Amino acid sequence: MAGTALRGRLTWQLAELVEAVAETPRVKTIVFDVPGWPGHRAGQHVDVRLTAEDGYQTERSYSIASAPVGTRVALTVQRLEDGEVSPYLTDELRPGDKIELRGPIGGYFVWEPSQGGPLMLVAGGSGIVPLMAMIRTRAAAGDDTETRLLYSSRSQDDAIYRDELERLSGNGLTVVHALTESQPPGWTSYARRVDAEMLAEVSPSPAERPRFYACGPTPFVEAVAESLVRLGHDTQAIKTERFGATGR
Amino acid sequence: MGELMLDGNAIAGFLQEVFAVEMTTAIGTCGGCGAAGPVGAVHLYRGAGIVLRCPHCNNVLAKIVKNDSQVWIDFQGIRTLELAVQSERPKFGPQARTSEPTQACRLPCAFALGLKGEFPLWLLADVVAGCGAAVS
Repeated sequence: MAGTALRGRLTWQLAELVEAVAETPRVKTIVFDVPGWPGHRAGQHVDVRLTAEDGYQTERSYSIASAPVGTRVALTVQRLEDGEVSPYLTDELRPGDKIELRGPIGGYFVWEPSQGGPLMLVAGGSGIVPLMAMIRTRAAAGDDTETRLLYSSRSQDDAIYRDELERLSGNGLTVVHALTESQPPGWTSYARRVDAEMLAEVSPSPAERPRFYACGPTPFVEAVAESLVRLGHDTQAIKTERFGATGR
Repeated sequence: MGELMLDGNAIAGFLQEVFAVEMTTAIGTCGGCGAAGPVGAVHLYRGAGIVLRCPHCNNVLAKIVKNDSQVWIDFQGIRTLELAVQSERPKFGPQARTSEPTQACRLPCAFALGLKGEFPLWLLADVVAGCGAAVS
C-alpha cells in the first residue's frame, strides 16, 4: 500500500457525487465514486478542481474523511461564507454531478494501524476530518491501538461526527470534547480552548512515547504544538497539519 | 503572519505533479541551519507565490511561482533533498530484470536526470543553484 501511494504522476479524474450528508449546519460530507481509485491511507487528501463555463479554474485541497473502502471517497467540507469553492460543493452539487479530483496525496500526515501508538489526536473544528479517517481506519481494521482524541469545537452542535465518535468509543478509543463557546446544560467536560494543562491531562505521558497528530486552523495547531513541546514530548513525534481559509 | 502560515502538506499535490513522487515525506536539509526534516512539516506562506521556510530557523528554503503554463522554483535555501524512490518490484528474481522506468525528475538538474530507483536519490540543490546557469 505504501508503495502504491508513493509512486506515480498525479492525474485529474472525474468523480461522481453519490451522496451528501449534512453533518452540522455549516458542514457537509460529500461522498464520491472515483473509478479506479487506488485506495488511500488515513490522513491523505485530494485536490479538487472546478472549471467555470468561461474556462476559469480553481483548485482546493480537502482531507479524505473515509477509511479506504472500494472506490468511494468521502470528503467533509465546511462551508465558508465568502468561499469560492466550498459553497458550490456543499450547496450546489447534486448526486450524479461530476467534479475533477486527483489523489490520494500526501504521506507525511498519515497514520496506519501498523505504525502503532499510543495515538494522540488533537482536532480543532474541521481539523477533525483527517483524524476521523484514522479513527475509521483503525475501527475498520479491528485495530485496538490505544487512541485518544481531544476535539475542540465551538459548541456541541458544531462537533462533526459526534454520534459516530460516541459509537466508536471504547475498545481503546477515548474521545474528549472541549466546547469553547457554548456548552449544553450539565456539561462536565472541558469548556475552554485547548491549552497545555488540558493536553497534559488527556495525553499519554512523554514516557509512553505517544504519536501526535494535530490538525486545525493555524493558530490552534501552533498553540497545541508549542504546548506539547513544553510538556516534554518529542518534536519528531508531533505531526501537524494546518489549514487556512482556502482549503483543508 | 501566523494566521497565514500553512505547512508543506498544503502543496503536496503540486509537488507530486512536479516531481512525480510523493514529496511530503522527502527529507530536506536547510541550507541555513542544517536542520533536516520532512517537506510536509516546513512552513508555507502564500502570497503572489509560495514561500517555504525552515521551521527551525525561518530561513527561506524555496520560492515557487506558477501561472497557467509555467512553474518557476527557486531552491536556494535547500542544501539537499532526499527522496525515497524504491520500487515495489522484488530486488532479485526474473522480474527484477524488467527495466525500471527512469525516475521522471523534472528539476533542471542534469545530475538527477537518468538516475534510476531502488536507492535514495540525493538531489543536490547546489547543482541547481551552483553557478546559476540554467540547464534544460
